[in-house]
Amino acid sequence: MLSEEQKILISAYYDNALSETERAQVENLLAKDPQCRAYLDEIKKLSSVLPSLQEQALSPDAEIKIRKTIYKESSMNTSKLKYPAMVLATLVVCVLVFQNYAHRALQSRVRDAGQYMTSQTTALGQTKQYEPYYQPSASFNIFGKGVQGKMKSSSHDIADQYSPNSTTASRANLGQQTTETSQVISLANTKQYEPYYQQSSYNVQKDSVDKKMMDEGLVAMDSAASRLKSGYQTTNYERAQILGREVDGSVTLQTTDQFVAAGALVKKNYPQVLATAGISEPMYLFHPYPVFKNENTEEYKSINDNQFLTALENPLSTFSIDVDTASYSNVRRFLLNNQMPPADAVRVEEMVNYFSYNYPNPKNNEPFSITTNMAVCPWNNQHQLLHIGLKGRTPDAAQLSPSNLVFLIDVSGSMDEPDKMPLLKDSFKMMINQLRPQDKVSIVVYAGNAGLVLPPTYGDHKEQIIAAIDAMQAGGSTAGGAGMQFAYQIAKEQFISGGNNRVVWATDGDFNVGTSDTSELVRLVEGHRQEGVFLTLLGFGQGNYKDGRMQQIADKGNGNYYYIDNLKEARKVLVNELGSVLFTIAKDVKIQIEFNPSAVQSYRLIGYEKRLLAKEDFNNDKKDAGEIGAGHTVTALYEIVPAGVQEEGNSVDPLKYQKAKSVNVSDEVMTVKLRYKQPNENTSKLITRTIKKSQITNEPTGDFAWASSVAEFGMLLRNSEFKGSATYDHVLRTARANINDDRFGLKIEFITMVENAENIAPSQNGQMQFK
Amino acid sequence: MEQTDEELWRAYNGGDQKAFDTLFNRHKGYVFNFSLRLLNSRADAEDVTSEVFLALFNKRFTADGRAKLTTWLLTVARNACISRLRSVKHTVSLWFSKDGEDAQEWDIPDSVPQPREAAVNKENVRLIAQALKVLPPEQKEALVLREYMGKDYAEISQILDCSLEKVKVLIFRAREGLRKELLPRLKEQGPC
Repeated sequence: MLSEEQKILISAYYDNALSETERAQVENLLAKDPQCRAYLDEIKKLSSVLPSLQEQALSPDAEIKIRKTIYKESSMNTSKLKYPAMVLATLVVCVLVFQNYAHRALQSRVRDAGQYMTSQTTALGQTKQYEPYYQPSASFNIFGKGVQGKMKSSSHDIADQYSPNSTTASRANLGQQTTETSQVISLANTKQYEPYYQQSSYNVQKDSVDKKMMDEGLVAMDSAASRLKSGYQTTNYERAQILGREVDGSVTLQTTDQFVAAGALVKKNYPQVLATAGISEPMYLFHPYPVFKNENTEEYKSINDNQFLTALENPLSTFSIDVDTASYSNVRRFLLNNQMPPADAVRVEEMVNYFSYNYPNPKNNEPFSITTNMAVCPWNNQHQLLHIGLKGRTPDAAQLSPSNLVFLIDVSGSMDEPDKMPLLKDSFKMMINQLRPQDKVSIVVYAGNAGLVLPPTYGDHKEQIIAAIDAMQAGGSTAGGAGMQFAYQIAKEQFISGGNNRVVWATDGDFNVGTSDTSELVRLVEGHRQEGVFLTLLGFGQGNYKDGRMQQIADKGNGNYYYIDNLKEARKVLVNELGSVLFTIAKDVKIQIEFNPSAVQSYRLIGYEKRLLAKEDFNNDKKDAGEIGAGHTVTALYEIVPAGVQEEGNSVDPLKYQKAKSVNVSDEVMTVKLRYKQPNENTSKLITRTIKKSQITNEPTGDFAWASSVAEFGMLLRNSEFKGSATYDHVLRTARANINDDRFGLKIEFITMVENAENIAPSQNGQMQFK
Repeated sequence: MEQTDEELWRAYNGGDQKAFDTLFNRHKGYVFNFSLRLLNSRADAEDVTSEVFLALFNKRFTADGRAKLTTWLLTVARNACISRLRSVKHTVSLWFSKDGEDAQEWDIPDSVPQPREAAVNKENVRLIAQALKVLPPEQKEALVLREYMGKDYAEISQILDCSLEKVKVLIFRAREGLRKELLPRLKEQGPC
């Protein structure tokens, strides 16, 4: 006789779901034991007869019904004024039901009526349920009185958070409701259906009340509640129904964030309920639909917004430029997937710098031009916004020095994903096609070990380089540290003096063998920075992405950092902007601004949180800072409180032991100072600019306006405490009005991102923040 | 080139209503048949299908790129089916007997030329439907996902929210049940 384990193995063997060793074991068994073969044959036979229970087509009637339901529900859901209509509809049902039943004076009938009513509201809102006052209380007994009461009050808490206005339903709104809902979404592109609640009388036919639906909600709630209580594994769907049932009519839980918030609230206030049920995971506790979240192990470094500093005490503001754009494409990946990005994934300066701006080209052989503008701040009309724009020189292609590029490519197991390895290969091939004959490329790959898969090869042997790229396969562990050392070693061996020596590193940032400590890697990179080898980091993949580590490494390695989420982004970075990515025209670029306290009360640098420098660092040529590439634009924004504006809660008593400093009153608002080094030099040069009051305009225009709308969006995504009157709507209006030049469709894409964010954001005023 | 589900999903999120239509047309049969096999009731399966696509329409699919849309659809459908199966029991006791209601939900192909074969086939289909119906729900889910939806064990474990080992055992038990109850009763069919 076959044991049960053997049978299980054979069954799984048939489905090809065994590990190598188990497989061999079963095959061995099959060869020896005829009983096994017979058993396998029976499974095969079973598999062959089952399909005679054929697939069924969805009948056209049913399909129409489904489309109708979807349309109807969604038009309810999208309508802002659904509550009054629903309350009214419920009242109408109530009246109808009472007409029919009340006079019979039979208690059981009254109970029926209550359930009718419940079911009708279920049909209307799906997620929204009204509890009639005469609802039999039996169905709630499972929870016990105390808990029920608490769940109730928790639901009221939720209600308060979500829909402060919804309880004040008024009949007067009804006319408006009708016009609102008549803006139909054409779902089926064939027919449009009139929602039944639009009928003039708002009567709901008794016959249309679906008994099954009525029962379903109650019963599911009952059984789920008892399961939850008894510690039985419930599905999220059931838990959501418990919550839906306990929450009164003024709440509609719809978005993931709302469910997460609700779960968090219950967890916080009523831990004993969850403890009884043996539930520890607060997130998604009540989300009725599966959220595949648990695999996400992405890492971000936390960012704290820069604060306002007073010009009197801190007249100098110093920071290093940042040309990275990785944060933008990472944020885009979230938003286009309809998820809000984690606040720490949003680096406002990288978002602003994602776009190229039309700043004037530099003159007189200077490596870059400086543009400054000032206007009234769009999200706080008491404040002003200062805009500083740099544009790097674009040397002729012929003048560009030859490149010595070492591609360092992560081929570890974690890269074996459709959005990593294949995308990486295509991206590199696009870049290789841009190479000139005098450029040379070596390729180092690493997984468990590091190895050279392409010896230094000149740019006119493109097929050879591409063949090496094609041959790469992902698998194994990740020795990131070893790979990096090897790549730098090759770069040094092939060093072109006066040329562009650079390691181009493509990875998801996940290392697990050898040096994997970030600070260790940072030190490694820093060591090689002195040798004149630059670094470009290309980030790939999602789910396990180590953004913080990548940014830190690029920052310290005279590097730039891009996140490649799709081929379009690869084209932007590696084809359209390759010059600025690969050819550094100035390094260690630092900006220092001296504010004039007679004009500026306080100021705040927007973004660049990780790039701040001490005021002494500005003149210290040993202090590393950002690089600027050929034709690159860099933008920085300051929010400024002009002198004389009264700010709430910001006052400090005058100092007792110090004399107030004397201030040089002049028309100048500030002086912008900039230091940079030529790529192959070690002493810096200085450029200065002053801004006068007369230059301040009413509102940002052109590039300035675009940059300000991107910054505004970033602040909204971060839910920054300084966002003032910023709204997604305002971002959209500004952005749409300032698209101007959009050759690569990037600005349109930005607008789509804002629209998505507006749809999925927890709430416009950001009240909903549960952490 | 045909757009992938994920591309369509993104397009729909970007405001393209047609993309939703395409998704609906592409997967309606998939979801409906899965629900029908679990519930054995056309009406219920239609309701579940409608629920699933309503959820999709309301943009409740929150992919982080790893989750396939089809897996998600089946997971939502499965949850909806479970809650329906549980409520059915109570419906019987609270309301009226559903006798006769789900007696025959499967269209039996009757266009087969030879009458005897048709009869055998019809009988076998009835037996299969009957045998599936009496399987414990969890085993049925696993088996349907494997045999009818062609999912691999990893995906089944994701949809059923359980371990791979459990999937193995569930499928094995379902097969055991069918092997003992169904196979001996099947009428031999002539060569097709």
